[in-house]
Amino acid sequence: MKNRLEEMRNQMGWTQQELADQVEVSRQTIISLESGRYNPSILLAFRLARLFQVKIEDIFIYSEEEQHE
Amino acid sequence: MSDQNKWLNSRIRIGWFFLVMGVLFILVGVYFEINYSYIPYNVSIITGLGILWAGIGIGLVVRYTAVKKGDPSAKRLMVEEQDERNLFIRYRAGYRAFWVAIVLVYVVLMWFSMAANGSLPPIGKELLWYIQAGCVVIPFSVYIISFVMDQKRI
Repeated sequence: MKNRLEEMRNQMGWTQQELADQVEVSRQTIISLESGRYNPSILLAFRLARLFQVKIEDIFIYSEEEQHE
Repeated sequence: MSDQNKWLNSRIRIGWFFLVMGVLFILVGVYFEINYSYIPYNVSIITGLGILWAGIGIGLVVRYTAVKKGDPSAKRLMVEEQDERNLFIRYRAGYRAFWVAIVLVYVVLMWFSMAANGSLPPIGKELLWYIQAGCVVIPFSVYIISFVMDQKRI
């Protein structure tokens, strides 16, 4: 799933490790999320959205085609 | 009490359980070695199991107590352990290994059934040992390979 995580993290001036510490996941998870290789659980998506004070849809871009991948 | 503290306390309790059981096994093992050295069993296995359990117990208690006290490196270790991506990869590896194990056991059972009516050659004792070892080693290898590949891929 495409997302704006890297862009939003850079806007906040955080490193991947700093973001990982704040949402209590590993740095590798942030790397995988940013590259779109891993889709987060709904809980992690909410934690990220709350941290950036935006809606989940503002971070993660869902498209119908991805549903069957 | 937060969910994280509950989780930590349960881990510490498990650690103490292993430690107490380990010490008990060591004591029983040593007692048997001294007083019943003539029995035809290798009682060192009990002592060895006790040492292993006590070691696991000490490891769990020290590790999770450090997390509870707020040690940053221990905290990071816990985050790694509970990390949802790592859990996902572990479950996936376990799922694959499970099905490989099921297929292997099914094939072996079918072989035994067909060997019983003469359709296939019988399995000797030595071959049986290798088959049993394979039923353990092959699913474990599948687990490890799947884990390593998914760590790179996901």
